[in-house]
Amino acid sequence: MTHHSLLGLCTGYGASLVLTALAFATVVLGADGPTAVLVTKVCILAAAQLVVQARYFLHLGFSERGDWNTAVFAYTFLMVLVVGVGSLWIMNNLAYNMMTPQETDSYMLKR
Amino acid sequence: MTHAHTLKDNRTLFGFWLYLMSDCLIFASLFATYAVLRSATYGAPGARELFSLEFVFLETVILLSSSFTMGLTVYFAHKGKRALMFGLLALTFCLGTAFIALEVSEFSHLIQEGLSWERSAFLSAFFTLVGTHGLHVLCGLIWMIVLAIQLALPRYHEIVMRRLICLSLFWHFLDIIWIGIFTFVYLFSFIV
Repeated sequence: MTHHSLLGLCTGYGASLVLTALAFATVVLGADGPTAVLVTKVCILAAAQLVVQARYFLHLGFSERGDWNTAVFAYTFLMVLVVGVGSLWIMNNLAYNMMTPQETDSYMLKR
Repeated sequence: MTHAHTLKDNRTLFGFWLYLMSDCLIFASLFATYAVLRSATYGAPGARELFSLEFVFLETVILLSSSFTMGLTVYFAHKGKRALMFGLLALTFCLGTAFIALEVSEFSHLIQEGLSWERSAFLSAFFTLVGTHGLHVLCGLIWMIVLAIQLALPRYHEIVMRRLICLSLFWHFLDIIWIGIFTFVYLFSFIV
């Protein structure tokens, strides 16, 4: 985790800059495209960015025997997903169940 | 470096890593709060009207560059090139300060428009999330000053090296959190 190489650092920097530019270009140039496609593209770019940073800057290995840092990172990632997705799920469900009669009408009409 | 030292290094770094991961969960809850409240604007302008993509792009490039120079600092510290190490640490500090300055200018601009955290639930969540990240960056900057003084002292070299590696992990971690912020706060505001 502490062994930096000059080439690795430069690769990581270059890759993260390219990914950032791509993410911004996706939103600026494709702003009128379908929402689902844009969301997917931006999320994939963010995930790629995460992998690049973890690999080249944090030096998380995925092959070393008994690498606890990577195990803890993976566990934290899972917890982050549980907190994030779980909150959105619960709060959406709450909003759905707490609709006023008027909101229910317009919701049913939309279906 | 002796075997005992590397073992102690690994333990310290693992402990620091655990702290970073628990910090990650704080940010996760703030991200979740923001995601839930982002449409609760209470009549105030929403995310799309307030943010400028060019501005955020500049902030992102500055923070990414500072992460790179921090990596280089550790690299040259390992090589024993002290002059380069100090120069790059100073550059990292300047980039971090520039980032904070941009963020403060964005915040003060919003507050002057009457759009502070008191205005809507969305703005509360936004200021808390981005402000917490900014506060971390500020702590990192103070840490850099303290560490630069320690690095300049001739004694305790190995202990100080370990602290430098902890600082670099902290800094890279903040960079990763910023990826989350620019994706889910700024870019998403122009999509969804």
